[in-house]
Amino acid sequence: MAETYAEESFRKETRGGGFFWAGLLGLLVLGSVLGLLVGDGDLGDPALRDAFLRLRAWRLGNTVLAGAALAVGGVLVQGLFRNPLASPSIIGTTAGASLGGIAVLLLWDLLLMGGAVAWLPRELVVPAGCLLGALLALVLLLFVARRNPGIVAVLLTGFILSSFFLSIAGLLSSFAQERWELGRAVVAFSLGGIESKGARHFALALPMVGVAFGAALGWARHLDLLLSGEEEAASLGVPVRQVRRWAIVWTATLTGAAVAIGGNIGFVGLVVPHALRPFVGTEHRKLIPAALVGGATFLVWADVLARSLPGISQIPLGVVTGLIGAPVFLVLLARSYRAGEVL
Amino acid sequence: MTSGLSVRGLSAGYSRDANVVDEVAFEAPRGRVTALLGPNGAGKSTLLKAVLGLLPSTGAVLLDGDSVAGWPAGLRAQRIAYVPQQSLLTARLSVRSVVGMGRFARERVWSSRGKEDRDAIQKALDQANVAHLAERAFPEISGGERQRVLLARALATGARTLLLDEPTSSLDVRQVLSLHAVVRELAQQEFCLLLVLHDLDEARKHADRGVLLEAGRVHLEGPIAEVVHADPIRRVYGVEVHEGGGLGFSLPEEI
Repeated sequence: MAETYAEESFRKETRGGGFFWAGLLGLLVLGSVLGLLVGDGDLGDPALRDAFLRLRAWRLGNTVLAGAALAVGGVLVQGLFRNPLASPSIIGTTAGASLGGIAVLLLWDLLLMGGAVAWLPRELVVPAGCLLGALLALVLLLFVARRNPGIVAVLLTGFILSSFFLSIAGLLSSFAQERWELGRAVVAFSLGGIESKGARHFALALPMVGVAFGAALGWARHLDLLLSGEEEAASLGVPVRQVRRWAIVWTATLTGAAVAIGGNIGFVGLVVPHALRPFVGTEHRKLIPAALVGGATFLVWADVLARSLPGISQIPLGVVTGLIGAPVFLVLLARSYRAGEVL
Repeated sequence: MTSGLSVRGLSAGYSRDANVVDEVAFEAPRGRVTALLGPNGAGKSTLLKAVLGLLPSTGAVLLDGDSVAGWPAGLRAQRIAYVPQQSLLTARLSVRSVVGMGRFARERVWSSRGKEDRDAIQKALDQANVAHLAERAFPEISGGERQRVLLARALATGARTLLLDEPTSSLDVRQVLSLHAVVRELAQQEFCLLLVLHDLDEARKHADRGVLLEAGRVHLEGPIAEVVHADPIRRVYGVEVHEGGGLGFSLPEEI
């Protein structure tokens, strides 16, 4: 098949596509190997080595999925809102997913008391709750953004939504403390942490991330055209409403999957697409697959770092991504100010 | 059958209960450059958007005798192309990629571009005189060059009816002449061209026909010399004009 002109210009505009991909995949492989080797537990003990490796393998798999999901979600919301500073954690989608997860835990527990859903495992309902919560957060934000699409308005609304969702989540957590088992489950979910997640979580999140990634790739050209604004995109034949609707669904699916696996891990969706654009360009057909691998790589290395600090066995993954992501966000915000994008 | 664009009884607005254009009817024949004129707020840009199907509207829009009502967005984009006054695109895409966007309605989701698409993009770049900018980043070229790139994108759609919203408003005189030269060439190739213009002198020099809007309604339609004329301009723009001068009249120094 003939090479597209976009691909031609991509080759010329970006810095060595082949080397980039080799480097990125190399980093992922290296980080994965380290992820298996680093951490609590002595691999030298033959009696425990298999168990440790199995646990770390599932942790690694879940980290890869969460990182990939958050980064691709970041690309989608940045395209959807035409806002370079949008990411699921900044615009309240992650908080919405988190609230959805807690709400569904409570609901599940209430129903369980009546024996209605005793056959349903908790792991299965949490991702569904996260997805619905993320969906609600995005729909609310989009409603506001349609009236005032400015970068600051979207960010402020996202911040307010985020705080609101976290407050409700706190309220629900307080209710949950009335029952010990439920309270423990809610606290464990709220704190997040990928270390406790295993094969079930991986098996549930994998199809969510896979389907959403494939669908996002299918909308790549549409998202490119949306960079020109809704009116221009529509004049070029883009079914704008349909694209918006589905971009929200797939972003919510990706965020829901990531939160169900690892809780509130911030800034991945912001940092990774920005780091990748100088290498792969702006076109979504290149950016989405790069974000898939780049997000996984970023989070795998963040997890290795979280387990490698001297004097402490491990720190929460969200703390590491926050420490990296927050300064990056401020730099990007300052750059947007200078470019006159933030009014 | 009228060849070109025929608008009949078109009403449209941004909310259901307030039409900005009301019962508008006019013709924009093929092979002619038609200028859409009128004071600010007369509804020129709204009318273009309604013709493009970007706003809910009532009435009829016929293209070469066929009603465009009910055409899917993709088909409409292949038949009627739009050049906005300014693009909102700030992403660092190459000019070739931007022009390639014009092929969207003709492409399949999962397939790469074939020779037909590549040829159409190159032809559009050549027609709009922007082939030399093809590998430059769109946000980094000048305003005049960007306007020609947007024209190239419209041409890449394969549509032979182009609607241009104030295409020369931010261009210098050389760029204005260059853009009109391209537009004239397209008219000679039997394109249908409808341009929103602000400058009456420019309209008189470069358009063949004029449609003068006043408060969302057509005040006058016809050959440009009859539309850009002292009486209608006096009535629609509300200024006292003087006889004589290059337009056949001259505008006052002050109101």
